Parts: sequence; C-alpha cells; structure tokens
Amino acid sequence: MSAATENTATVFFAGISTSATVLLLYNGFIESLCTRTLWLLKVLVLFISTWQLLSTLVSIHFWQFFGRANDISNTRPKVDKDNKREFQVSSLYKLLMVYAVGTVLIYTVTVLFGAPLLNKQEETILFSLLLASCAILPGCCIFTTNWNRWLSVLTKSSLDQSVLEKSSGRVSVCTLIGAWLGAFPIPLDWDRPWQVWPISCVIGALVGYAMGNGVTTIQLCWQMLRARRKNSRMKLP
Amino acid sequence: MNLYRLTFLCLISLFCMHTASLYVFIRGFLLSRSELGNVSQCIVEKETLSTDHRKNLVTYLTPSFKSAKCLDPAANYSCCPSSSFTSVVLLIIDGLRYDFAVPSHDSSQANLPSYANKFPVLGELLVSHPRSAQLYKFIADPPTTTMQRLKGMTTGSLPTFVEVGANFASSEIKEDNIIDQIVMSGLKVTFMGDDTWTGLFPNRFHRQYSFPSFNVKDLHTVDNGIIDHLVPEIKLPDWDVLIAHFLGVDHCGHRYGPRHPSMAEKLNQMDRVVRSVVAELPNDTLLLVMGDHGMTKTGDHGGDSADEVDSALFVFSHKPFMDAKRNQSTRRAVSQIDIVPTLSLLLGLPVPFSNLGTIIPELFSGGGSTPSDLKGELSVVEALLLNSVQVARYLDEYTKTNKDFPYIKYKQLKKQLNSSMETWASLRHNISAVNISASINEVKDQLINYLDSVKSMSQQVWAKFDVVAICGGICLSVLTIMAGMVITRNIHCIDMIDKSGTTATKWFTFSTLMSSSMLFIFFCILPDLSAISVAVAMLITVTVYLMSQAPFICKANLCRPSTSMPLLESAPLFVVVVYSLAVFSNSYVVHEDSTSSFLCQSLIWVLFIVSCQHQAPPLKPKREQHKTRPVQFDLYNIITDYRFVLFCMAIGLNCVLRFSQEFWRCREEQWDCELSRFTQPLSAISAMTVYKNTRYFTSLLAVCLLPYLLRLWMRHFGNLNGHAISVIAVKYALPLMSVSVSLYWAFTSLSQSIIDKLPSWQHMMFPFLVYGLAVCCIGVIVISPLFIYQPEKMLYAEKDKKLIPQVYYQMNLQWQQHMGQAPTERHAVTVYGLATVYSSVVITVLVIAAVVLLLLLGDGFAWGVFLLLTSMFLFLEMYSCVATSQVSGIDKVEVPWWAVVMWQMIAFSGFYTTGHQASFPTINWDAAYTGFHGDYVNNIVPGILLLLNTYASYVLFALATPLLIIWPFSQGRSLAKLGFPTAYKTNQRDEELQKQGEFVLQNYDQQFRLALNRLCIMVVTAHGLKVLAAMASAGLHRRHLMVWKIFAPKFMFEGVGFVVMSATLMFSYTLVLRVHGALGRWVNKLQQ
Repeated sequence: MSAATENTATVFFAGISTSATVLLLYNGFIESLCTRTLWLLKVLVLFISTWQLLSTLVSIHFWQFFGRANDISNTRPKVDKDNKREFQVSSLYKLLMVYAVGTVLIYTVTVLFGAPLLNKQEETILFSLLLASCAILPGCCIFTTNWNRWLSVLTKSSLDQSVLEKSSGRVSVCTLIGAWLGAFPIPLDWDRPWQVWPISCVIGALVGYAMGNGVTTIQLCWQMLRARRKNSRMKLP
Repeated sequence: MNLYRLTFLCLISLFCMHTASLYVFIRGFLLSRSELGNVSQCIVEKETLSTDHRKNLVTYLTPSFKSAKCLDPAANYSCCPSSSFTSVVLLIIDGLRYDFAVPSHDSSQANLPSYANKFPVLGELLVSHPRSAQLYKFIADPPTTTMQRLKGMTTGSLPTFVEVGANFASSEIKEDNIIDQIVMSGLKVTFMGDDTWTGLFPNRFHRQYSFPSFNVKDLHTVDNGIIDHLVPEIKLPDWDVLIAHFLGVDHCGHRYGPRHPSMAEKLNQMDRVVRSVVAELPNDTLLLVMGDHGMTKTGDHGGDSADEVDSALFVFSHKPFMDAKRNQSTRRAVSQIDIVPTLSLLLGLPVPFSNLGTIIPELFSGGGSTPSDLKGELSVVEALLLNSVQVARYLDEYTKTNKDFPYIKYKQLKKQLNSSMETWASLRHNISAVNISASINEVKDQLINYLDSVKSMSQQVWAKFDVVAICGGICLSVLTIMAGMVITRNIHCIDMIDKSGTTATKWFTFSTLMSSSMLFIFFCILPDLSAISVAVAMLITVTVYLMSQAPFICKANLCRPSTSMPLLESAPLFVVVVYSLAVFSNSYVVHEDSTSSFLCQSLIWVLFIVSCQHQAPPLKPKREQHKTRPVQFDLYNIITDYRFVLFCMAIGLNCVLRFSQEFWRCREEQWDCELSRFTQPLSAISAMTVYKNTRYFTSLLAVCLLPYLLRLWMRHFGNLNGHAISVIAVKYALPLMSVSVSLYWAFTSLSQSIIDKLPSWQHMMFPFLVYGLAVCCIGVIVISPLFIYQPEKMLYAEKDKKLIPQVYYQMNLQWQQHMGQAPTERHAVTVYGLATVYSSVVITVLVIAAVVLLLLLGDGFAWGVFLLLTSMFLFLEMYSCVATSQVSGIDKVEVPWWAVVMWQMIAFSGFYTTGHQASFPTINWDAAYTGFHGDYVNNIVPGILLLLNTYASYVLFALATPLLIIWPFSQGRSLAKLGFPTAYKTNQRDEELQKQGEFVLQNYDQQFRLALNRLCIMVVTAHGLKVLAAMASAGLHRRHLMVWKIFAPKFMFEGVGFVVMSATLMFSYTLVLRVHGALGRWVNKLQQ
C-alpha cells in the first residue's frame, strides 16, 4: 500500500515539476533570465529548493504524515537497515549539512571546470545552489549520510532501489548532464545574451531536470496503468 | 613472420601512411597561383596582343593629349608616359604601423601611448609642402610577413598561403617585377638593409649593403649599417633607385611590443634618418617612406587584423607633383600592391606583367597649379588606361593557361573595360567640350572601378585548391585510422593470438601500404593522373579490406571484447567525436584551450564515477567494528577507501588542469582574453621589480624541484646506487643542467642594452652547457640503460657494519649449525632498483627533456611544465589504480582505448599550458635564438628548437607514453607504497607479480613487446584522428572567410605536431626496447 502511495506521490510531484519547468522555459523566461540574472536565479533557487525539499519529504514520509504506519512492513521493498525512514528533526539537520557540503563540492567542481573564480562569484554560487537543489536535494532527503547508497545511486550499481530513489537518481544525473551540455554553446560567436555564463548552463540544468522528471512521470504512469489493467483483468473472472 | 614483427611493421606503415596523407593533402590544399613567366616589354610583338587590345590600342590611345611618345603608333603603350622623376629613394621601415607615422593631435599628452608623435617629420613636411607631400594608409594583404610583403610590393601580385613557411629561406623571385624592370631599362639600383632582398633579387643590385635579418633580438645592426651608408650614398651620382630596408622597428616590436620606451627611441631614430634624407634629396627625386606591415598590441605580425595590415606610406619630393586642391586632412587608404604600377609609371617603365595594383591617381596629376588644369587630369587617365590594359592583358594570358577565373565574370570585366575605352574614344573627338572635366572624371572612375573589381575577383579566386588531392589526403587518412583501429582490435597481447587470424591484418596492412605508396608515387611523378590514381588506390584498398575482413565480420560478435565498463568505453568515444567535430567550428578552434581542458576534466570525472561502480575492497582490512556500538563515521576507513583516494586524485588532476589556464596565451580572436603575465619574458617587465624577483625565484624552485624529486624517487627505489656512468650523469649532470637553465634565465632578464654589450660567448655558454649535458646524458643512458646496482658478494660478518644484516647472518649461521649443516657461503643475489628498472630510465629521460624544454620555454613556463608533469603523474596513478583494481596479473599490459584517449587529451590541453595557440602570430620565435646569437648557416637547428618549444607538451607526453604500460606494474607508484588497491581477484600469483614490480615485464617478453607496439599504434591513431579532423575541416572550409586565419593554421599546427609527436614516440619506443634488451642480456649473464 505504501509503495503505491509513494509511487503516486512521486508521479504527482514529478509531473508537477516537469510541467512547471516546461512552462517556465516556454514562457519568455530566457529573455528575463538574461536581463535580470541574479534576481531570477535567487528566486529559482529558493523556489526549487523549497519545492524539492517539500515534495521529497512528503513522498518519503507520506505514510507517516497520513497515518497507516502499520502497512509499511509488509509492502515496502526490502532495504538495508540504515535506510530506515522516520521523520526526525535531527535528520533534517543532517540533510542540511549534506546539502551544504554538496553545494560546496558542486561549486568547487564548477570553478575547476572553468567558471571564473574572481568575477561573477555570485552567479557561480547561485548556479551551484540551483544545481544542488535540483540534483542532490532529493538525495539528501532520502539518503542523508548514507554514503554507500549515494554512490550506488550515482553509479546505478545496485538494483534494489525504490521508485523514489530511482527517480531522484535519474533527475540528478539528467540535471548534471544538462548543465554540462549547457556549457557547450558558451564559446560560440553567436553573440546571444544567453551565451553568457551561467545562463546557458542554468537553462541546460532546467531542461535536464524537466526531462528527468518527465521520464519518471511517463514511466510511472505507464506502469500504474498496466498494473491497473492487470488488476481489473484479474478481477474480471 | 611472428606477430611481434608484423605489428612493428604495422606501426611503421601507419606512420608512413599518416605522413603520406598529410603530404597529399598539403599538395592539394596549399596550392599557390601559377606564376607566369611573361615579362612586360616596351616593344610588344603584335601576335602577343589579342585583337581586341590591338584595336583598343590603335583606336583609343592615339593622341588626344600632348604626350609625345604616344603619338607614335609603333611605340608600345606600356611605356607611354614620360617619367616624372628621374630617381627614387625607397625607405622601407619594417613594421611601421599606421599610427606610428601619423601625427596625433590629441592635446592630452598623458593619454597618448609612448610611440605616438615620435615620427614628427612626416607631419611637418605635410604642413610645409602641401603639394609635394602626402601620407596614405597603406593596406597590406595578409599574410603580413616580410617576405610575402616584399614579393607583393615588387611584383604587384596577391600572396598565396603556401610561401609563408619560407619566410626565412627566401628564394629568388621568378615573376616579372619592378626591380627587374628597373634593371632592364638600364637604371641602377643600390640596396642596403635586410638581406631578405638579396635573397629575393640576387645579382640585381648595382651596389648592396645587406645585413642579416634573422636575429630578432638585435635591434641595431641593420639600422646602424644603413645609417652609415645612406647619406653618403645619396650624394653619389651613380644610382637611380635607392632602397633602404630598416628592421629596427619590427624587431623592437617582437622583442618588447609597441608600447615599450625603446620603440619611441627607435621611431625617433627613424625620424632623424628621414630628416637627413630629405635634406640631401635631389630636386627631381621621389622619396617614399613606407612600412611593409604593422604589428599587433604584442608586437607580432603575420595575421590579418587591422593593426597588422595597416601600415603607412609617405610620398615626398622637392618638386611639387600634386594638385593644390587636395585636402590634407583626409587620408586615403591605398593597397600595398598599388605601389608597383605607380612607381613603374612614375619612372617611365612598363608595369610588371602580373601586377594587379591600381596606380595612386593623385601622384600623376603633374603638379598643376590650378585644379582645372586638364593636363594633369589627362595624364592621370592615361596612366590608369595603361594600368588597366596591362591588367587586362595579364588576365588574358592567365586565362589561357589556367581556368581559375569564372568565365562569366571574366567576360563581364572585359566588357566593362571596353565600354570605358569607348567613352574615352568618344571623348577624344570633342576634347573641347564644355563638360570635359566631368567626362574625364567619369572615365577615371570607371577605370578605377574596373581595376578594383579585377582585384577583388582575383582575391576571391586565388587560393586554388586541388580538390582531388584534398579528398585523396582525407581518404588516405581515414583509411589509415581504420587500419589502426582494426589492428589494435585484432591484436590480443595476452593470448598472443590475432583474433581474426593474422592473415587479415597482414593483408589489410599490405594493401593499404601498397595503395598509399601508389598514391604517393602517382602524386609525385604523374600529377595529371591524380584522380585516377586516387580512385584505383581506394578501390584496391577497400576490396582487399572487405575480402580480408569477411571472416572477421562473420565472427564479429564472437570477437567483440566483452567490456565490463560500457560507460568508460562510450564516454571517451563521445568526447573524441565532440572534440573532432569541434574543429569544424571556428569558435571552438579559437577557444580550443578551454574546450580541451573542459573535455579532459569531464573524462576524469567519468573515470572516477565508473571506477566507483566497481567497488574494490581496500587491501587493509577494515577495523573490527564493535558489535555493540556501530561506528557510523570512521575517518580511517574513509581515507583508506579506494574511492576516496580516486576522488582526491580526480580533484587534484582537475586542479592541475585549472591552474594551467594561467599559462594560456591569448590569440587575437579571443577578444575577452586577458594577457597572461607568464607569457611575457622577464626582460620585458621593466617596471615591477618585486614581481620580477618573485617570478624568477618561484620559477627557480620549479626547475630545481624537478631533478630533486627525480633523485629522491630514484634513491628511494635504489636506482641511484653504485658508480655506473648513467647514475653519475643523473646525480651530477642533471642538477648542473638546471643550474645552467636558471643562470640563463637570470641572464635573459637583464636589460637589452647590457646584454648587447656582452660578448657572444656569454650568450652561448649556458644554453650550450644545457644542450651538451642533455645530449651526453641521453647518450650515456642509451649506452648503459640499466639503473640497477648489484653489490659485490661479501661476507656480512666482516665487511658490513649494519645491524640487521649481521643479525640475519648470525641467525642463519646458527640455524645451519643447529641443523647440522656446514655453513655455506652461498648468498642470494642482491640487486637494487630492479622493481623500477624501466620507469627509472623513462622518467630520467623525461626530466632531462623537461629541463631542456624549460630552457627553451623561458622562466614563465617553469610551473606550466611542472603542472604538465604533475598531471601526467596523477593520471598515471589514477589509471594504474583503476587498472590494478579491474584487471589482474599480466593482463594490465594491455592498455585500453580510454586510457590512450585521456592521455592524448591531456597532452592536447598541455599544448596550451606551454603558452601556445594554433595561430602563426603566437609562435615564440625567441626560442630559435636560445644559445645561438643570430647568424645561422642553415635553418635546421633553429627549426628544431622552435618545434621543441612549440610542441613541448607533445614531446613530453610522447616520451612518457611507455609509462602507460609500465606504471601499473611499477613499484614506483605512490599508491603501491601505500599498499592499495589490490587486484580485483587477489590470488597468490598476483601477489607474486606485485612483488616483482616491473621485472615482471622481462618475464613476459613477447607480451610486453606486443603491448608496446599496440600502444604506439593506438597513440599514433588517436593523434591521427585529430589531424584528420583538422584536415577535413580545413578542406571543407577552404572557401571560408576565416580559412587562412583559423582553419589552415590549425591544420598545419596539428600536422607538424603529429610528425613531432611520432618522432618522439619512436625514440621513446626504441629506448624502452633498448632497456628491455639490456635487461634480458643482464638476466642471461646472471643465470650463467
């Protein structure tokens, strides 16, 4: 039952994320990003981080928030002991710590990849915050300091992942690849305002984010539809 | 023929084929325009004239104005105008940029650069002689190198790219040119200055004072030599044309840049020269002061930016020659080749045959006092007419032999000329008409328009490409790379089998080799058959390839190596594809420094993530966790974790790549690039003493650290024991080399005036010491390549005073006595340094090369080279870390593709770390003079120095390439000392191999040799792919606006870099084989 609720929550939030991001990118967003970069980035970071935090926490702890804790032991896929899910305030503290470390790491790697170190610091920091919010915040909520799970999600090595874990891993990989691909048009001589650092990377990251969420939505919808059809077919006779 | 020999043959043939493809492509791509041997003459036989022109000549050039010579229909039209001047003084100031010469009227002196208003004589003459002085902006045709410019300024032809490389090996001009015309008409030419002229025009000059031009550091020899002879020569009666070519300004630009105070000094000197010439100038002599090209903000030239192209032309005579109406404040721009017809017609000579320039009209107006003077206007039109007819004749002649010009355009131009001739003819009949002046102006405009369109057409058409040869070169290169891929895929080093059968590889190799040699021969001997030969060769190759591959294709699924890491195979492939495609976009070529670095870093992270997927257990067992209280966070476990170590190395490698950005040089297309301080030589930094000292001493640290670290490393692994000659070389010669390098840096940081006073042996001492020692060291290492030490057999009890061996000895003795055996004198053989026997040699040669390269690169790049070596080391560590954890035992000998790709990518990004860009103005010419004070007998030595400087990174990485095989086995790895990671599946055999270190390779002789061949083939193929991409992009973009500025230089840099890399790789390959052989002999001797 709980796995189903988790699936539903994941699909729900992923769908909303996808459509919101697509709408955002569609609707004159890029022009305003070019003109009011810092302001818009701040808003984006704030919005996305809150949204990711809320949606992930809600999808993890859905059962806890809405009761029905008893169902869990039977239906939940088996995960190792470290991965127990109870909402605690201390885990929130841990989460924020990991998030901060992740942001610093992303900032470092961004600068190492060639982002300017001395000028445009604010842009770079905001960009890494955005990337951290999109890519690692769900992971922070799910795994906190369980480094082995982190690595296994990033490298897709273990198979026993829940739907939420899979989806968050996919979103982070897609976001990172999107941001990476976003750097490609920077050297081109097209003289477009969005070629300036970090706008193209932000757009790339958002597109990647939307795509990752979109794939999750479609896949889960498909699965659920199939499951329902199966159920109804089984019930019929 | 065994597999080893076969692969060696493959390696050689691949190298030859790559070179052949480069050659074939170059033959097609860098074709020049064909030079016509025709010479303009005063008497032109009627047959050589087309009927149109003869009619034109008879109809239109018969007298309508009062030029006596043209009255005679038998006279040739080329010589019609009487000469306006009897003699000419031509002062060429090399590198005279337009703003050096033009007087600046900016009131605020503070804002002016130091070179402004340092040439005031021109401005003064313009004011005092408004009718006999004129200043023009003088636009050069790129490439703006001196020899190309001289060729253009004497023949009037447009330059083609191919001759650029021959800048310092000037060859005689064979085309009709103004010097020949002057000499033929019996006038006498005196020349003084740059010896490029005497190379271009041997035996033409009546008297010559030439001075060597090659040494850029020498600001004064040429100029002072000219100044000594110039004024006395002017006073002599026996010259008609006097040419003086000053080099000081250009050399000053190369040395210090235009903003340096010595540039102001130099310009002042030129000012004084012009003043003295003006004072002595005879009355009917024309003085021309001009530059051959400009210079960029850094003082370089060769490209086509406005700063490089804009030069100045100043015309002066004591006799007025212009209309008074000319407005002095507006300065017209004239093309550099315009000087050819102008000078010819002013001297009354035929215009050189292949000239495409237009006369400068105002110089022909004869100096009439009133603007409405028809005589002046008429002579202008007459001169223009002569000029146009000459150009038309050239076009006719050229079209007879070549099909370069589009036919429609050619016809259209012809019609245009005819119509203006007709206008002229109609004008001739009513010369007294009222609006004669307007009509004359109309004809004039039409003619100028005609000449301009001819010029622009030829500029478009001129670079004539042989498309067949271009395609042939590209196809050959593709074939070669395919061959390389097939060969590396089919060779399996471990099982010693060739998976699809030796025959396939053999056949393929031979067929490609055969067809390539066929191509080569056809191109060399029978250029006309090129198309057929390409087709035939391709056909043969492809057929044989398909035939040979038939069994392979059938078994393709069986042969495909099962990759355990698909991402690690696909990511480098993706990067290679992206990197190759990037060459096709001019922006990515311009920003290739960032691109290569970015892709490199991405690959490093991919490598990290992929190797994290395969969790290898740490060697040291995890601490026992208390079962009651589980430890959540254990620093020890994290630090010793294999993934953490990899992470640190990835971050380190990233940092190294990021820091190396500080050493990038700017190319002119990178408009937002800030000039790196490290690219400036120390002597150019005059103001900041503190910075100068800091930089010098930090660089000193780097150059001292290199031999010190080597020594530390070698001593640790026991390679520095004993008194072998190679050990002594490393111990003493290498530190001496770095001391010499640092002393030489100190020497070069002296100011120019002090250096010039020092005798030349002081210039040469330190560099020669370094060269000599390097050659000696490498020679010694080649002669005795084993850094191992076998101490004499001795009795521990007596000789060795060390504690542990004594204890061991005593225990052994007692044990034997206890067992009832007689004590034996038999000892195990003790040898030092066997576990790093290969890598010690390679690394030593690497460090020697690095020190020599530091000498050539200058002190600014000391840390750049250090970073390069660090990145090499980190990558090797990372690679061997992954390799040892994935693959066990001797299988590590087979280097995977991803490692080669990453290795090459780091090498490519290293090209920029050593302060280079793929554009001609950024070539560091100074390197050619390190230790050689100017005058060279030939170009080989400076060429080699220049290549070493430019391709420092390729040389270092090619030298270190065998380490890719050696390092995973080496005990010299820093991680091996720490004890991890172990092999994936640890077993007894692996541990034994691990203990033996590099000596394992000796035991697996065949595998090692095969792997070495395979690695070399892979490296050559990977580099060849980059050359192929550059080649294809240059070929594809051959009509692109930027081709000569971006794509062609890119291709040429890559092509030459490939040859340098391959040569170095061959050296490294032989060196490692030499070590291998010597070690084998040593083992045999020991066994006996």
